[in-house]
Amino acid sequence: MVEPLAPEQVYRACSGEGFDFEATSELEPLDLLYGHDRARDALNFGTAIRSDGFNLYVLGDPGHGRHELVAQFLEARARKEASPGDWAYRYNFDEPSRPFHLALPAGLGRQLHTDLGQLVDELKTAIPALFESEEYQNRLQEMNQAMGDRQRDAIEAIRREAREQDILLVSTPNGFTFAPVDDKADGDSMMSPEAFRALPREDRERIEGTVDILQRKLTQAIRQMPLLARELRHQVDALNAEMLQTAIGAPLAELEERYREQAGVLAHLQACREAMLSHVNVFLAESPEVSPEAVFSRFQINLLVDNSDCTGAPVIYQDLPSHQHLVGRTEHHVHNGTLVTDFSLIRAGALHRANGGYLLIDVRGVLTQPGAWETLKRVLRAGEIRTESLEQAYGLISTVSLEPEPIPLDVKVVLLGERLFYYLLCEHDPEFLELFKVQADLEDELARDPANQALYARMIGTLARNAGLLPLGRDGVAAVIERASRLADDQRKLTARQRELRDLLLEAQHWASESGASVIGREHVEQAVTQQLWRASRLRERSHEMIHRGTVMIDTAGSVVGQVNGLSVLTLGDFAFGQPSRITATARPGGGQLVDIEREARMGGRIHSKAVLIIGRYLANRYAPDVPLSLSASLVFEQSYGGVEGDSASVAEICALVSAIARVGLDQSFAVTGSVNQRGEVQAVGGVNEKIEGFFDVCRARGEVSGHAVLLPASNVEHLMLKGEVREAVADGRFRIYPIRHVDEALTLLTGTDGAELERLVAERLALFAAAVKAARADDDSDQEYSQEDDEHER
Amino acid sequence: MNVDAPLRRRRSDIRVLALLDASRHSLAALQAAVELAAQRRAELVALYVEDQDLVHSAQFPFSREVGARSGLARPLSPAQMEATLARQLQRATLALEAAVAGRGLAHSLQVSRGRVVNAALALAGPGDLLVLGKAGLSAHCGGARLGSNCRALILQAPCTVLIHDERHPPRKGPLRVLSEPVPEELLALPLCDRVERLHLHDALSLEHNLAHARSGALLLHRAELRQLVGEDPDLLARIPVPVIVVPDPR
Repeated sequence: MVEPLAPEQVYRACSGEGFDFEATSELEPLDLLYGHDRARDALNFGTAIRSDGFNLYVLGDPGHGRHELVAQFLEARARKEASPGDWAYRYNFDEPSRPFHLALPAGLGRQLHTDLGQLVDELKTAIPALFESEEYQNRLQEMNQAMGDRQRDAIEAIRREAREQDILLVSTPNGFTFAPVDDKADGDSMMSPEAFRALPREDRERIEGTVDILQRKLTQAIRQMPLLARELRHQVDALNAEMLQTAIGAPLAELEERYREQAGVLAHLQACREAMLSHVNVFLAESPEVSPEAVFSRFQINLLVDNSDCTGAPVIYQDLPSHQHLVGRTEHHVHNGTLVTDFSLIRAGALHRANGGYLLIDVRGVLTQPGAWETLKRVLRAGEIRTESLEQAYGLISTVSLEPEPIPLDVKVVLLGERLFYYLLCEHDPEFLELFKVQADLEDELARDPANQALYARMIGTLARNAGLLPLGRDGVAAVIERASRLADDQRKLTARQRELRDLLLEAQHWASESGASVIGREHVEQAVTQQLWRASRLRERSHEMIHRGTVMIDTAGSVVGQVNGLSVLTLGDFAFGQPSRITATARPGGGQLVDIEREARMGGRIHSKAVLIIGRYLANRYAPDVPLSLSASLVFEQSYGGVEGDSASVAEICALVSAIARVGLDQSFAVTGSVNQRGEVQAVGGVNEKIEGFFDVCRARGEVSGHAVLLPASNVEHLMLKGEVREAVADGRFRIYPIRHVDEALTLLTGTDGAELERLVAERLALFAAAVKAARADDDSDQEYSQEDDEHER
Repeated sequence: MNVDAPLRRRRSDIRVLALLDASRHSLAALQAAVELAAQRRAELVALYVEDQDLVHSAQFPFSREVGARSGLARPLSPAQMEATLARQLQRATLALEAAVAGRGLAHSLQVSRGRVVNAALALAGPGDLLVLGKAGLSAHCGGARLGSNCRALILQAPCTVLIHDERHPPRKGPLRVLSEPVPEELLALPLCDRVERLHLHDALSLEHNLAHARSGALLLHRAELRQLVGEDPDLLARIPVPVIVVPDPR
C-alpha cells in the first residue's frame, strides 16, 4: 500500500542552522561567478589567450544577470592590465580625404592637443606681426623698388641712349615710338616731320638706322620684363620663407624636442612646417582663398580616444551596437546648403574606445542592427577599424567622403546572449566559430548542500550589498534559499539566475523598509514572494473561478466511472500555475483501437499522440496479452479548447480507460499526474509544484480541503517545494500526496479496490466485448465496421 | 565788412578741371572730379588735349610702335594715329556725358591740340581744383609711378591739384597734413571728415605710416612735395590715398 508523503518530504526547509552569522553584513563579499566554474574558467582562458579569433560568447538567459557577472569579472581583470594608448587622427596634407591615424602613449594625446592649440595661438599672432614688421616691410619694399628700378632702368637706359643720339622715346596709347629731336629748338622738342623730310638723305638714313637699332633694343628690353617679374616673385618667396622660418622655427623645434620619441608627431610637425611655408600667401593676402584659420585648423589633431584617465584596460559596454556605434562615424557640417566634412569630424566608435581592452555586446542587439554583425566580423577578421558609413562600406554612395587610415585593433569582444543564438550562429554562420572560439556557458542551477548553502548565503549578501540594500538576517537568507530552490523546482538545487534573486531582494527590501525593519527577515522575503504571485495571479483566479462556478466542470468529490482529474500547467510570461482538467474515457466492443479525440481533432501535440499510442499498447499487453483486444475506446480532455501537449496525463488516461472498461468508479477527490511507459511504470513530469498547488486551490475554493489527494510520480518527490498552505494541510492529514511507481498503484488508490479484483472486472468486460464482436461478425458479415476492424486487426 | 563775402563769391567761380586722355586712370579721375564738382556745385571743365608730339611721331617714314607689353614693333601711320586720337576723343566725350548724366552739372569739354601741360596750365586759374589720374599714357613704363604730365602739373599748376588713384577708390576719412595751414575749402571736400596732423617729415616714414590707410587723403604743400620727391621720386605713386597738393602761398 502506497503511503502519503510526510510534510518534510514535500518541502525542504532551510533551518539556517549551519549559518555562522546573524546578518549578511558580517559576510565577506563573494565573487558573483561563484558556482559558474565552467564559465569562469572559460572567461579566464578567453581573456588570457591573445591569439586571433579567441573572442568570447557568454551563454545564459537574461535571468542570469550575465551582463553584471561578466562586467564584474572583466573589470577586475582589466584593472591589472596595462592601459592602452591614445588614438588621434591628423590631417593628411597630401591627400586630405585620407587622414592619418596617430598612436600616442596614454595621456600624451591630450597634452599634444593642448600644445598644438598653444602653437596655433602663438602663430596666429606671431605670423601677422612678422609680416607687418618694419624689417619685412622694408626688405619687401626694397625688393619691389629694386625690381621696379630695374624694369624702369631698362626703358630709361634706352631713353637715354636714344637721347644721346638725338632721338626721343615717345609714349603712345599702346606702347612707345621713336622720333628725332629738333636740334633748333630748346630741350626735348620733337623735330617736325616736315623738318625731317628736309634733312639731307644721309642724315635721314642715319636717323632711320639709329631708330631701327633702338626699336630692336626696346623690343628686347620689354621681352625681359616677365623674367624680371618672375625673378621678383622668387625673391619675395624666398624672403617670405626665410621670415616665416624665424617665426615658426623656435616653437616647432620646442615641440619636436618634446615629442622626439613620437615618430608620428614629428612627421605631423614637419608636415605643418611645410604647409605653412607653401601657404605663406594665406598670411599675406587680404582676402586669401583659404583663410589662415583653415590652415591652422589642419595643425590640430582630432583626439579620438583619450585614455589619460584610464586605469587598466578599458571595459566598454555598447548597449546599441549599430554599425556606426561600433566603428565610429564621420559627421558633417552644413555649409551653403552642402554637407562638408574633414578629419576633425571623425568620431570614435565603441571599438576605438575598447581598443586594448574588452568590448561587451549583446548578441541580440548586434544581430538586429542593420549590417552590424557583418561589420563586427569584418573588423575582427581584418584586425583594424575602418571608419566608414554603412553606405560607403556597401558602395551605395559615390560622393567624396573621408577614408581615414584604419586603426589597428587589439580587442577582446565578449558577446552576451541566449544559448539559442549561440547554436543558431554555429549552425548558420560558418565564420562564427572562427571568430568566437571560446564559449562561457553559465549554469542554470547550483547544487543545494550545506557547504554550498553557506556560500550561497554569502552571494545573497553580496547581491544585497552591491544593490545597496539592507543586510539579510539569518532567517531572511533561509527564506531566500528556499525560494531559490522553488525557482529551481528542485529540493536539491538552487537557481543560479541572479537577476531573479536580485529582484526578490529589492522587493523584500521594500517591504522591510515599509515595516521599519533594519534587517531583511523571512517575513519580508515571503511577503515579496506572495506579492509577486498576487500581481501575476489574475488569470489564474479567473480560471479557477470558472471551475468553482461550474462553467468548467471538475468534480472534487464522489466517484465517477471513466472520469479522472488530470493536472495541467499554464505558463504566462515567467508565471506558471496549475489546474485540474477532466479526462474522460469510453469503452465499447471493437477492433482494438483507441481513439485519441485530441489527435483526431488535430488539437493534440505529437508527444501527447505518442503517449496515447503507448497507453494503447500497454492496455493490450496488460489485459489481453494472448488474444485480440476487442475494444473500441476513446479518450478526451473535456472542455479543452487550446490543445493538449505533453505526456504527463498518461497515468490519468489509463486510469480513466480502465475505469470505463471495468465500470468501476474513480474517486474524484484525487488528481493524477505522471507519464507512463509500455510497462506501466510511472515516469517523472514537470511542473509538479504548480499542479499540486493548482488542485489544492480549486479544492479549497469549494470548501474545506478534506481527503483530497494528488498522485505523482515517485521520482518527482524531490522536486517538491510546495507552498505553506499545502504543507499545513499535508501535516494535518487533510491533503495527501501519494508517490506512485506503477499505474496499478494509482488504480488501487483511485478505485479503492485491490489489483486482483480490478483485473478480474476488466477481464470479464473484455470477454464480453470479445463475445459481442464475435457474435456480431457471425450474425451479419455486412457489418462493415466490425469486418473492417477485424481485417485491420489481423493485418 | 564781411570777410566771408569774397570767399563765397570765389566759390561760385570755382571750377573743377579734369584732364582727359581716355586712359583708365583719367576716366577714373573724371568720375572723382564729377563727384567733387557736384558736391561743391562747381562747374566741371574737362580738357582733352590732342598731343601734338604724338601726331607728329606717326608722320615719320620710319614710324613704328613698340607694344608696351608684347614688345612687338608695328607700323604707325598718321592716319592710324589720327583715327586713334579721334576715337579717344569720342570715348572721352561719351565718358564725360555718362559721368554727368542726370546730375544737372554745369560742364564743358575743351578740346585743343598742342602740349598737354601747356594746355592745362593755360586753362587753370588760382581758384580751380585740378583732378589728375596718377599716370597717363606712361603708365606702361613699368612699375607704379606718376606720369610725366602729372609730375609737371603738381609742381607748376597755379591751383590745388588732387591726384586720384583708380586702385584705391576714395573713402571718407582724415585729411592728413604735415604742416599748417589747412585751406578751409579743403575741409569741405567729401573725402575729409577731420584733420590729422602727422609729425613726419621724411618719405620713408610717411610711406610706412600710410601703408595701411584706406580712407581720407594726404595734403601736401608744394614745398613739402618738392622735398619728398627729392628723397624718393616715386613716393606719391605708392601712397594708397588721394594726394592733394596746394600751391605755395603767395
